[in-house]
Amino acid sequence: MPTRITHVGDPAGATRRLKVEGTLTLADAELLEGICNELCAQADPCISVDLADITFLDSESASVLCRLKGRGISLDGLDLFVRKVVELAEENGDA
Amino acid sequence: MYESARKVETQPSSQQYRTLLEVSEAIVFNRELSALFKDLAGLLHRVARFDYLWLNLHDGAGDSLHLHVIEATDPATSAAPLPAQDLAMWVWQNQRPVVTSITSQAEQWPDYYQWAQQLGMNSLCVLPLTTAGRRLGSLGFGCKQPGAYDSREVDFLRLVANQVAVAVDNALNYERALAAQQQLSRERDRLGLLLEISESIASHRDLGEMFRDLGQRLPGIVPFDYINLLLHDPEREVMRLHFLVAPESSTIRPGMELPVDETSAGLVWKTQQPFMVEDVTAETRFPKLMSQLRENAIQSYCTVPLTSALRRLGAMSFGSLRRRIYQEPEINFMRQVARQVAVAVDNVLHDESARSAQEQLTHERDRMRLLLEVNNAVVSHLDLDELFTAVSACLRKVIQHDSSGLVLCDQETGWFRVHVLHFARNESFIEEGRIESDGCMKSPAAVAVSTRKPAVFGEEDLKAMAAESPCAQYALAEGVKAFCSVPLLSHDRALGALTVARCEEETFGPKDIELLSEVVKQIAIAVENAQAYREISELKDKLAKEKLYLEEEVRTEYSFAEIVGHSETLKRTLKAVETVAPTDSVVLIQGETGTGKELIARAIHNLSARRERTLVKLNCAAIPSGLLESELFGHEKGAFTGAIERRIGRFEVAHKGTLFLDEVGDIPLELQPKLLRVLQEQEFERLGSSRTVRTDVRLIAATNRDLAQMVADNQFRADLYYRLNVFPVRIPPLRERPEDIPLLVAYFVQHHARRLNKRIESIPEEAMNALQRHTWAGNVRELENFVERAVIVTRGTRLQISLAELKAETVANVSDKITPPVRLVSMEEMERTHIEEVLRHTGGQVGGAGGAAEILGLPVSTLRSRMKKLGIRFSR
Repeated sequence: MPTRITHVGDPAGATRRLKVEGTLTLADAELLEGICNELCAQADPCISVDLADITFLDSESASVLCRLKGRGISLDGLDLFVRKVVELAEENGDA
Repeated sequence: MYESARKVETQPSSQQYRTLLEVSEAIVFNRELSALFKDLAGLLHRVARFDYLWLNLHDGAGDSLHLHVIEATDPATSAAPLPAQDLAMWVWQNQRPVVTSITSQAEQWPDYYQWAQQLGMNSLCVLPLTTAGRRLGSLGFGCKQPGAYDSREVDFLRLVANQVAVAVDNALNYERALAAQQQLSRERDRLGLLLEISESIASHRDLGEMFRDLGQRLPGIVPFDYINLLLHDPEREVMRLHFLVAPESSTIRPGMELPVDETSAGLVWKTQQPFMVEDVTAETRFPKLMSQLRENAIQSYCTVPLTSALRRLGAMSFGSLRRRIYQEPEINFMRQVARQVAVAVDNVLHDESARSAQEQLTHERDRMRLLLEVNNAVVSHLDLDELFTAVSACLRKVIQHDSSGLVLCDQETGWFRVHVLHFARNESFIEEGRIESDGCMKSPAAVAVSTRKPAVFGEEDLKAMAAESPCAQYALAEGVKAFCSVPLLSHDRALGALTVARCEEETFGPKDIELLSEVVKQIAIAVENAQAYREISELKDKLAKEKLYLEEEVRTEYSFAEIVGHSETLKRTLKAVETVAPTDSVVLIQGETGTGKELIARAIHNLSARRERTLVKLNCAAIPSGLLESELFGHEKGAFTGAIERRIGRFEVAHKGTLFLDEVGDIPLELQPKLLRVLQEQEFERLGSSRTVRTDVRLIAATNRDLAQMVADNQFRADLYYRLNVFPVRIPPLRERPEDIPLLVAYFVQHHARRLNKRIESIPEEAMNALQRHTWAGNVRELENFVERAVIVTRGTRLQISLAELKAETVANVSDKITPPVRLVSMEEMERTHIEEVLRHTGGQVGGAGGAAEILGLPVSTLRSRMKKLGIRFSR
């Protein structure tokens, strides 16, 4: 399943929310990182990434997620597998 | 002065009257002048004295007298010279007799007297010879006795002369009548001959026969030893000898040619005037012709124009071995003959022209009919084999031949392929070869392809090629003696060639080649259409197959890129995958069942340059062995019972892509050579087809069996094994990478929970530990199945695992799965198997820490020696 990144609107407007669906590989993860960078460049950034509908991610994209997490971006909706992969990436210090 | 005869009053004697009466009778009985004169002399001797009697006749046209006949008493004097005319002319002019002695008037008529003197005459009596109507000449009497003629005798002789005049007049009239009659007779003969010639011309359609007939008839009128007929060739500006009647020894032959200006026939053709040579030996004109005539001893030669009312055709010549034989009458007659012959020649030429036009029309009709039939075949057959059968049926109707064939070229590879259909036995023959760009062909069938021109071969040419051309050998074996190959050209591209062969000596002529060249234009279009149709049809089949594969891919639950694990063992395998993927090498994936061999194959394909094309899969163990060949290579319609339509195989579908053959160890031994050929030559034939299909496929094979052992047991071909084992990739079993189990479990839980619409957030640690301890003989597939069952039974967000089931399975695994079935083997085999197993475990490492020697407790050198003895070749 291809990756889909959606900017989800927040009625309060306090948080910028990005929803990621499908299989996440390095190229798409870097695209996600680029989008986050753009949002961060705007004033008062508060960004969360919803990963609940990720079906698969590889270790390289997990490293990118670790980087985002390290920059204060919130990673939400991690299922068992995604969480495990991200943890492994953190353990390996891939970020 | 001269002495005139005196008038004598005396009457003739009775003797003289009797003589006159006899003279009169002689005149009545003798029409011929010489005979008359002879009789006359005999009669007159009785009554007149004379030694010579002669007759001078006026020539009528000129003003002269000619001695006509002379009679002498002495025969020796009959050859006396011509008497001078002076005296005779005087008598003729004055109509008076002259009686004289030689001596008295010698001065007045000196020539006459000289002649008389030579003959010994001393008396002369010359009398006018005149009838009532005309003066004929003179009658002379000469006597050796002087003064022989007195007046009385002269009077009598005048009476005689009158009688003789009547007789001569009669005789001359008779001679003229006779000459006229003879002339008429000749004219009648000539006209008769002309009529015969005319009839001969009408009765002969063949010019040669007519001319020979002419040669037999003509000599009756015009003598000749040679007669020939030369026609003008306007294209080459020569006179060509067409027909000849001549002695056998003649060096002049039909077919000889001379330029118009170098032969008398050319001159006659130009001027339309006859040409005559009275003496060939002295003739200086037309040296070449005269030389030929002299070679054949021809002395007289004559040429007359051969011209019809419509055109100048040439000339007719005739020659004789005798000199100066031809005069104007002969020439005129031959001109008349030539006019008749010209009509015949003109007729024949028109007839030939009409026949030629008719033949051309027939040929054109046949050609158009054939082209129409070929065209019908072209539009009604899109299959190459059917098309060729239809075209050969058309060809048989118009060109005599015993077999025909079609050579087709593969533009990409430069290979040609010969199909021959033998009519007699309906056998087919195939030859393949490469089209050489230098035109130096090894096959007669493909010469036309190389040179792009029709090529004709005889038996000797085929023999010269037989050493290198199976096609030539086949043709010779079939008794072929003439072979023709015509290129199929389309848009300046050689598609192939049409070939026809004969078992007869008769070679293929320009007309055959012209017709075949027309036919191949149609066939070229048909071949191009058929090839396009075949290509479209194959692409259609391929697309349909690919669609099926892609639909299957879509239905697949997992993306094959999703290889889950982080163990070093798995990483080593993935490193090997990364290494081999970009190459086009054959990969042999080895791993136990359920380890994910297909996943690895997909990863190799996705990392290769072929990723944009299809990965085609085939599980060799899942297809009945009888159908495996068809599944791999495809089949033609009717190839076997149930083959109701053509089907392309996996190798064709995977063209330019990757073919993954799972369970390759299950391929039957009899099919292995064909698989080996594809791997080595990249070509194969569909079942039931003789057409070689070329393919560009990367092969990834996988097996859970020990192929090396199978080779040792003669269950697998060694050559195929070596060809497959170019780059072995080993996938570790799950028991060798237990650290990957938590990640795999998490992945499967998440996957199946989502599918079953459940939310599972945690896995008990105890359960996870148990899962990691389990041996998983069925590897990842078994683990997934177990997790799926757990997800199904789980209520709530915590995964519920039946530890009892896991333990029971562990026991079952130990007893059923891990323990291999017992097979009684020799110690040596057991040893070999064990060493190989250890080597597989160490990834081929023999020495060093963790190497096979350390595990087996043997020195490295001992292990290597043992491996060599047991024939174990194992590399990393």
